[in-house]
Amino acid sequence: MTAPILRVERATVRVPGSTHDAVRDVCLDIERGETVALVGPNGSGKSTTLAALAGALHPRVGRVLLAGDDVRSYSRRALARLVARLPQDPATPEGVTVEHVVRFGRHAHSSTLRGTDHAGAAAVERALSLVGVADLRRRTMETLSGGERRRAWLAMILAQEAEVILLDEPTASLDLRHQLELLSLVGDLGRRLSRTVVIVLHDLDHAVQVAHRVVLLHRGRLYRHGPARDCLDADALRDVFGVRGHITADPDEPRLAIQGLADPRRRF
Amino acid sequence: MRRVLRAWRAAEYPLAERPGVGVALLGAGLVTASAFSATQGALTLGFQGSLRALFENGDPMHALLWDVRLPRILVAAVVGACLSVAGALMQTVVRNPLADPSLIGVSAGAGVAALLAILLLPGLTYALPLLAFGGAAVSSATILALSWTRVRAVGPLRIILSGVAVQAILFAVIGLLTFLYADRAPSFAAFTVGSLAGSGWRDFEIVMPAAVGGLLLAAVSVRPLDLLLLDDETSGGVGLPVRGTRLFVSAVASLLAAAAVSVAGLVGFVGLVVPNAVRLVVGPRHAALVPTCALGGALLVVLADTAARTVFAPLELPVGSLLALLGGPYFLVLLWRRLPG
Repeated sequence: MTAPILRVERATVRVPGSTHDAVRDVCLDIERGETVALVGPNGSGKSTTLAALAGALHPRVGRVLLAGDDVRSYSRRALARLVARLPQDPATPEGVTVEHVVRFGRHAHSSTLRGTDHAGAAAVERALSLVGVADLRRRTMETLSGGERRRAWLAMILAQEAEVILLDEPTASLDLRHQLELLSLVGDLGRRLSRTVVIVLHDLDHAVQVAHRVVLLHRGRLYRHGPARDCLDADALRDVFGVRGHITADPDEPRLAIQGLADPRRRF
Repeated sequence: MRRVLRAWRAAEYPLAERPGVGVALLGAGLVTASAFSATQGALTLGFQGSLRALFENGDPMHALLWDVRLPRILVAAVVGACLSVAGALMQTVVRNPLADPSLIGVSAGAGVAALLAILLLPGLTYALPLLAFGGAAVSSATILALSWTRVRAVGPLRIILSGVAVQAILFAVIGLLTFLYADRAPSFAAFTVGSLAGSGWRDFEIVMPAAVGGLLLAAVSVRPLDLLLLDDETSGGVGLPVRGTRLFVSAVASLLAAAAVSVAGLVGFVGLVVPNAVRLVVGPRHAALVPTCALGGALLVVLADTAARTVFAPLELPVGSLLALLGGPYFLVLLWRRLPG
């Protein structure tokens, strides 16, 4: 058995400028080729965990191992070749076209002077067509709609061609059709391109559909992890999310059914 | 013709995909402006007269052209290129179109160091740009540290206000030096507003190494510079060592500003006016921005200096005050458009 591609060892992480730990004492292994969904209510530490996996935030206690080595031991460039992360809401660079944004994804692979080579240009093209923004390539970022911009960013990190892909709520601000397209793309990344995908999802239904394994976070701690069916049972839905619900029995196409608030008298 | 103009106005960045056209236009403009400038002055030569004087050793105007006008035009061009590229780099580093070395204390830092060097180490003329670079680096490091918040983008007001404060301190130091060395006050006054009066080959030799070095470093950094257009989280994610890049680029900007200050004094606003104007035409990417800024800055200062020495002839104005008269209102317009409330 090979080592997991990512291993979180008892990590406690604090977001800079904050006075409390957003993630406390979390242990987690992520195997190669796995698609893992990070779920939990607002403020449960999903994005912080993802940032720690990307090496963008370093744990105050504990550590994160990438392919067996501490992420801190990687240079920015070496790290970017292995791990690509889509942040939640990147600031829009004015006047930069979609194509150039996607090319930024090749930075870790290209030389400072000569820029992107043939293989890199091909990767840019693949990424553009994979998320369907090839038509938008000459548009500047600030002229796009929120959803189009989101897909442009996604194309950028796909052009990075990293083994591990970390997505922070990629479906936010997408319309229904593009949400489903994105989930199907995530499925492809795992199955056809054998990438390791860790994805923060708000919508539990999406997590159930796309992930091999669900990691449920609650108030900065790992509440439970495992296949969606086992992980998101009635108890977890009640205790973590405060809703009544269950996963429908159909083993081929599991679905989440939510009946309502666990405690209807309590609001906010 | 009208159709071309309309297409130009409709396009977001008309020359973003063809920066070569911008470089060619500005280059032609610079050559023309330099040639024009060479013919102008107390003795107006005319084009043919200038050509003859340029190449015929026996011509009475030969020395005037070669020893007075040419070196001054060259120094003006180099100073303009340095200040303009320094401005473009600073604006990218702090992600703020209002950042200009002359507004946020970087030039003033170079100026204090240069003045001290002139007063205390008069023999080290050729090291002047390096000593000025020390001053510029200290003030840009101070401003970066003051505005280096953990929020995503450095707020536009914060950086400008930190710069104003640093600048005020440095101008106080310059004022003190002027007071203490009152016997040299006239040359200090020219230094403080920025002037190219009396620039010669020696100034060209002083400024060239730092200017060429700085411009080359800027030219090879255009790709990392583009990545600084992204927020830190995103650019770090694609593999850019963000802080290191920022420090490096601010050092290059400081070097360029210092080079300009050490021969021309505190010429202001070039780094604000040129990059902001050029960016509207060629877009924010640095492979286009850096060369067009260099040429545009050179063109602006050559023109301004020609005006400074001819418009009120025989009275010669300091080029810095002309540029400030132009740049101040421009700054107000940018401020008005960029800052909410």
